[in-house]
Amino acid sequence: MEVHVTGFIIAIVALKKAKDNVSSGTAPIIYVENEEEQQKLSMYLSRIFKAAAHDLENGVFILVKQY
Amino acid sequence: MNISHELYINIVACGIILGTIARFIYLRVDYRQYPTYPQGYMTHLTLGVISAALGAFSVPALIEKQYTAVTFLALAAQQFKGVREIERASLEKMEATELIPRGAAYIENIAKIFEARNYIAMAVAALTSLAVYLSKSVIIGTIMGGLAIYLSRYVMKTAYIRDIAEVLPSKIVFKGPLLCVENVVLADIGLKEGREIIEKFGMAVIIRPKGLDSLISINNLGIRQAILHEAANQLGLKMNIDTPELAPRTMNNSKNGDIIVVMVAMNPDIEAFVEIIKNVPAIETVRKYPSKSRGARKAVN
Repeated sequence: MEVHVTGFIIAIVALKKAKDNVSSGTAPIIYVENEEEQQKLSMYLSRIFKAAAHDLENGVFILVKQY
Repeated sequence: MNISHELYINIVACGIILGTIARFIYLRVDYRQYPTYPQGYMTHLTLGVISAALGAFSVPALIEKQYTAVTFLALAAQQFKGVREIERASLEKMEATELIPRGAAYIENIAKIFEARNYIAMAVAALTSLAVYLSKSVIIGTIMGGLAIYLSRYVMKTAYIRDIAEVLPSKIVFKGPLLCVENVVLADIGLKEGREIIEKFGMAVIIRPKGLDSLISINNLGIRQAILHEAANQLGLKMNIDTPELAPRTMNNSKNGDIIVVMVAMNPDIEAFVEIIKNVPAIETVRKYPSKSRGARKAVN
């Protein structure tokens, strides 16, 4: 049987100006210049890791592993 | 008591034939029913013939005072339990390949139905043999067997979602990244691309339970998973394994106990969606009847 670990944060994509809203944890934090880049990077990471991108509306996106 | 050779053959043949017909009727191909392939058909029909034969032979055996025949019926019951195990195991193995799994409750329900159908074949066969023996007439026996098959439909009757709840179409509204239906937040969709697809192809329905019993039943995660599985398998999903934001989801409305179902389908036809959900079986194994409990009735009043 295959075992999948789900429901943990795989990466954090934060705007540079929202730097104060994130601090170190288990997941790598990727800083981006603007929201467009944030969308693009989150999309890439979401496709790579089969993770869902969630917008915390404070300039921080978290990617949560789903499968 | 001695049974003449001719009558013996009539008893057994009638029993086996009617019992097998009963099993065959319940083996009708349905979009949701498994098996839908010839091998599965063969397996279940063969087992049906065996169970019919057991039922048919039990009557003349008892008449001739061969009471050990009863132990064979017990053996048959064990065998049919084996059928349930096989069904369960094979469906569970296929779960990993399903984008939206059936869920344990649905699998258990299917497995139980398959077991019960063998008992129906056995009971119909036994009843037919008994009728042939008592009336000494093949025609009366066949009529009795037919009647038994007809009545067995009431025993095997399954309830559907349409029997326990209303299904109403609704609308998806985005509040920022939040996917909302009727002011209930279902998910946080971060990607703009995902939100656009959901707005364009997403469908939402509300399942409104008809009473206390159905409220408790419909809130069960097993039924909700079965609904998602059925809807996803009939309308097709836009979702792939790397686009989890397009996954179908359910959520309960904590204000009134409604269930909200959201799906992004290949064919976004809301009427078809409502129709499909109405026809999902309300899984017997997870249904609860709190209205029969004094405490629960007090809480409602």
